[in-house]
Amino acid sequence: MVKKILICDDDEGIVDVAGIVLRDAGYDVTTITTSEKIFSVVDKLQPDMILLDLWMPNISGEEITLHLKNQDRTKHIPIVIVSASRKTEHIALKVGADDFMCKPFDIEQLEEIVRKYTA
Amino acid sequence: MTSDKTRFHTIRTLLIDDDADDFLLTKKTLKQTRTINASIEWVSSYDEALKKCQETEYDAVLIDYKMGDRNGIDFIRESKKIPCRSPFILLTGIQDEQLGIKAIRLGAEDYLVKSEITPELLERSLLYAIERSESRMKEHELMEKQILEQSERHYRSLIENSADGIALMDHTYHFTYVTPSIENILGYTPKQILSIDVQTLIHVDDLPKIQNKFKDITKKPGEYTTSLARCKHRNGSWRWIENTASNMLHDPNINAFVLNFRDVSSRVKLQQLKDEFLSIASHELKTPLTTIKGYIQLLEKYFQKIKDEKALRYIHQSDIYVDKLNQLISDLLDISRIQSGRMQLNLEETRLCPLLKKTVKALQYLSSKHKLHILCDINPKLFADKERIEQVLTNLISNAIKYSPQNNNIEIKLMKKGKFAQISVQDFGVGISQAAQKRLFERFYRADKTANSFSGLGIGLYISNEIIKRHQGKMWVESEEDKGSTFYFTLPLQN
Repeated sequence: MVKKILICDDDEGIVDVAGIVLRDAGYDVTTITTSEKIFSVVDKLQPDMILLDLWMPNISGEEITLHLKNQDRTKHIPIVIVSASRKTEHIALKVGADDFMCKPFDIEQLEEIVRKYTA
Repeated sequence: MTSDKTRFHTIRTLLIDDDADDFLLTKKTLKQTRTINASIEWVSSYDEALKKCQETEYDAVLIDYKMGDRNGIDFIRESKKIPCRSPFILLTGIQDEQLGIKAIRLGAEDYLVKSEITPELLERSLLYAIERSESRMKEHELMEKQILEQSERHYRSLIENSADGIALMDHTYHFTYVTPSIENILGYTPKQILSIDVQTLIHVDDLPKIQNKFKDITKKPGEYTTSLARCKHRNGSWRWIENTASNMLHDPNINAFVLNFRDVSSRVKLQQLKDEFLSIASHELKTPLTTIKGYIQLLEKYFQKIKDEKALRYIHQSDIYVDKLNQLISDLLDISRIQSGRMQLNLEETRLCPLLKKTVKALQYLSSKHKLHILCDINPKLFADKERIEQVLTNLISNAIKYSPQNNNIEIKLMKKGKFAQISVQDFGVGISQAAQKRLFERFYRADKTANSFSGLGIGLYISNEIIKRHQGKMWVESEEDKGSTFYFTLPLQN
């Protein structure tokens, strides 16, 4: 069964690169660049894992994580928060994210973390 | 005519004259005066006379012009410097108006021609000299008082109109004096603030720091301390107050702490805006960098597949420079954090040895030529911010590589030194001059300004040192030119 990964980041470049890397690695990748759509997408898609940017306009990664981790239907989905500020790791873990990845990251790091949470 | 008030007036005079006959004559003449009862002391030598004039204040001093190889005019000039406040009357043997005028210009009250002296003349001259001297003294005192008052008004207005608040605080930490500017700063009048316990105005998070600083300077007379704290304005808002306090408790004229304070809220707000800007800017810079790095790595994969070695080399270089750019952005952000005192450590129980090995392994890619040797004598457990310590090690090791192009060994050692773990990074490269060693940990300092290479902003060691200081450790260097450098840092061991 192909694992479904949802990537949400307002930066189109990162979404593109991460999409290419993970599709090459054999995942079913869905990408969105506007955070307000995320809840309906998660609902419909039921992804196996979510890669989430922390600082986004409208709804932040922090709020999204809090919400998803408080819903019975979604709380089991691993969430990895991605941010350029190492300082925000605490915030990410506090709101219930499963892991944190600092920008900029290596392709290997990305593949490794996705492998870890979809195994 | 003489006034009644001088009748029976006893005066004390001194005669300076090297001729004993003159003394007897003067004494006799004095006796013949009608309204004064004058005593007379006599000195014949110039130096003895100076001593007398210094010790005693006479009502009048009669001084002969001729005094061996020196003269009365010299004496008057010299005696004014002592200073001697007795009024002088110069006695001249010859009729020489010019000498008399010169004496008066130098501060004598009168002059008399010896051969013309009569009891009446002497009496009049003495009384006149005394009166003139007294009125001059009074004038002088009045002027001094006026100057003092003027100076006091001047300084008072200077202090009271200063935009800075100035206050005196006693040893129980209560204000005893506050300038009116306090009203602009905290909304209270000086009278109101005197009845308030100032400590209740300081933000609870800032209070312990302030209390410690005061405790510190209380022990040291003359010592001062500067602090920044939030204080509550009368209208309920918080103001950032910068204060310099000097311990003047030991000074009997002051007997208090002298406080200088000002509202720096706008400066602090600006600093916060700057930090916020830097934080956002670095985030915004790092985001496209992440994308670039991603594409570079995708390219790398692609060229690996088609085995294009040349392209792979270029791509590998690009990747290194992306990492450097990323490091620069992080450094700038760190500087801003250090300066605003907001660098926070994420302390956790850490094993040092694995951390060291992991970092060294990750850095081996920087140079295929250099061999990084690790020697761990101990594997201590301590509280540290893993990523920050990794950052320090990365900084030291990449410096060691950069500054030892002709040598290929770098030794990294971990050992126990008392209650500390000591880590050293040694290279055998170009070394650092004595002068440069002293300034090495300063911000933006670079030992080799001529280096044409991409060698950063010279803030790596500054940041590293700050990180170690925040861990309660120490950082230093030992180096000799052309022999190499060893950088050391310590971290407190867990009890």
